[in-house]
Amino acid sequence: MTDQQLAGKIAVVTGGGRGIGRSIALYLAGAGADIALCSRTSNEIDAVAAEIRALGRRALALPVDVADWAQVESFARAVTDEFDHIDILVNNAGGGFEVGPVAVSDPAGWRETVEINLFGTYHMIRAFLDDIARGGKIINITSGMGLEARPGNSSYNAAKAGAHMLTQCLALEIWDRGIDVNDIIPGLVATTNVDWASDRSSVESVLAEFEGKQPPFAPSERVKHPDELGDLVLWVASMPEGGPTGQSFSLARRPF
Amino acid sequence: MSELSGQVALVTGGGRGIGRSIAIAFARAGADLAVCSRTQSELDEVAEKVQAEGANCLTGIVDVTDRAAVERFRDDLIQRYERVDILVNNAGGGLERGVVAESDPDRWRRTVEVNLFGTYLFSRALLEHIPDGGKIINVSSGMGLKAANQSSAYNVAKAGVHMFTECLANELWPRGIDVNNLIPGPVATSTFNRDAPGQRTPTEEIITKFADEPPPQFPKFERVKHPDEVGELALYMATRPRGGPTGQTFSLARRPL
Amino acid sequence: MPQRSLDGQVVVVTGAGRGVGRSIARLFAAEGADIAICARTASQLDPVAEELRAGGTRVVSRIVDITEWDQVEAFAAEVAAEFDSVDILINNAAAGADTDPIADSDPLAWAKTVTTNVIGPYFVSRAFISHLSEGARVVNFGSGNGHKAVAERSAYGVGKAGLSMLTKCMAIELWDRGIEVNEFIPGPTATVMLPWATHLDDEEEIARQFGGLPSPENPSERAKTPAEAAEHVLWLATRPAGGPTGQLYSLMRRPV
Repeated sequence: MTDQQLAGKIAVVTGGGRGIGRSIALYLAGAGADIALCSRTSNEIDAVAAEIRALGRRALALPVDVADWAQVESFARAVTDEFDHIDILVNNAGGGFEVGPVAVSDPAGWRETVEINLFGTYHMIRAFLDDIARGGKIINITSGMGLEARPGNSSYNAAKAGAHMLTQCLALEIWDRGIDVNDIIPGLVATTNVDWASDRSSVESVLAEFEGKQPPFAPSERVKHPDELGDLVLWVASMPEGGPTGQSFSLARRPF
Repeated sequence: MSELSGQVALVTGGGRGIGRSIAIAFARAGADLAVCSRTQSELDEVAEKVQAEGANCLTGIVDVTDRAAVERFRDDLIQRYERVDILVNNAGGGLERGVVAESDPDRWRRTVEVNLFGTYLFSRALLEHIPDGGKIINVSSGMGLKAANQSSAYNVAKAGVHMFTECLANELWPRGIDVNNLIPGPVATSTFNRDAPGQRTPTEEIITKFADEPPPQFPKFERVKHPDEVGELALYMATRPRGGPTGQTFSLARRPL
Repeated sequence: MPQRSLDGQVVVVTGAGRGVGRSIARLFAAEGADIAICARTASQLDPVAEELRAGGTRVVSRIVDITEWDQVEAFAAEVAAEFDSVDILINNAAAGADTDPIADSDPLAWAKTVTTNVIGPYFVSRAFISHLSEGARVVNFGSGNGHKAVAERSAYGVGKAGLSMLTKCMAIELWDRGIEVNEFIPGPTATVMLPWATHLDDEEEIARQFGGLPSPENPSERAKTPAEAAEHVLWLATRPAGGPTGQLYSLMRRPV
């Protein structure tokens, strides 16, 4: 396998402005892919697009609210106008917006978590499906929270359970088009979105906080750098046609 | 048959099919009922059956995805009964069928909203009025545990409901409220029969239709059952003692899930 | 000369006389590892040992029935005498899938299949556990049948389900020695274990007739070569410290 195994490929990465999404976009670009990125605001994705161009690849960055079908449809049209088709779709946009027990939850925040994590993933799939080439890959960033219930974050649990199920349903539907659909379970990742760190101003601050310290969820877990996700997604995206589909690839360190 | 006497039960989507059977079974066991759905004529018929068992019945037209409507019905219920002991989140169904590639995004979204948001909104709205010893029963599905290939909206919605039940169980056990999933398996209802809007094929006709074999998406050893069997299971779940199962699944399916 | 990825490492592979076990032994030896292999049949195992030694690899090779504790213990003792510690343990040896419904099953054969597939890997893990280095990797070979019931394959399913649970238990017990334990599901592979090629016993012939072709039972699946499966095992066995543990890595093409 050369280090430009994705040369000539087009990849879409949602939530590509920072953290896991940024790492994924840079790893795919580093392997030769051109990238279309989106997130809700432009500043961060514009900066990542510049990093991608510095690697010699093309980049298209547009602001999109993935929960809004019309915006997603427009985004898909803009991407296919620019690139004609896509090969890899990484549904990474997500996060937990309502944290706390159901009994005191804000229904609007609860709904928003499902909107972004679940409907966002569905919208992107629906909008791009006709334009994914044979041999293409759909990779959904889900979560161990989609496999195992906990108290205090039901919206995120439910949304990720739904996204995990969607991955499997879609795999069963489109295998005969040669498109493989898998999900990624990141485990604990140091990003500025996590709710279990007291200083989440940067990836480095979260890593530093848990250096040599007991991580949340299970003592065996490890807080990792988002680049490890970039590496794993590159691996999955580089598999040959007819590779795994309907499966989960996990960096978690606790059984589910 | 008075195991639920003195108790108040709310059944969403209780106008027909599984919800209706659950409401009547609870009434027979002595509970007072609150039933909501979207069709007045169906609610009237269920209310008659419930009252014929000697129980009270509060009804309301509620779109379970409409938070304000859910909260208004909650207010009516509390004004009438002061509390609710058993919440059955049954409203649901598969509105969007077919492959993702041809799906209608609005109907796909709506399927998830009705099944998942409906369950969440009712739980959220009623929670503070459920006493120690209360029960929440969420109607899940084998489709929420195993993917199929032409029903992703429903698969996804029920996967979410199933997970939500477990989360809620994890949160409410210190309050003595037990939360479990009920998996009916295939049931002879209008929804299952894919009746057109407004059409209501009689239960017995659906049972006869599938007497020899269930529809092709099920293995041959599955059985399309009468909704009253689901009512019996819901009653069993509702009458477990405090500190009984929670975060568990009770299923009438006839295939491993 | 570029450093090979397993230089200086000691790898144990059970069931290495044929199929995926043999492919793993070959691949890992080519990557520079010292190899300890076992199997039940000398006529299969001996040529593999010879082949690896001829390539310059240090090899311990022993005939072992993994359901016999004394034999497993003796194997571990021989490996410990030759090598200081074990860095990678591949529990690959297994009994093939049964084909009778429980009502018609031969009780002793049924019990033997289950014993081979779960007690065998337990005996091997137990015998080697004190010899595993800090940061060692264990890969246990599972099956989709261990996660979802299949009629007329109960012995195989029960054994593999047990092995899946053993994997998770080992993961949560050994993490603080830096030892990572994961389950690997190859999916249908063109070896004598291929369920729809049981009428053939020549692996080359099976690969010729069925390699790359879809499964008659599940149309989205295809039979891969044992060499392809071995590549994935190498990837899994060489994750950096703090990588996945207690997880499932599967090449199946339908949800597990």
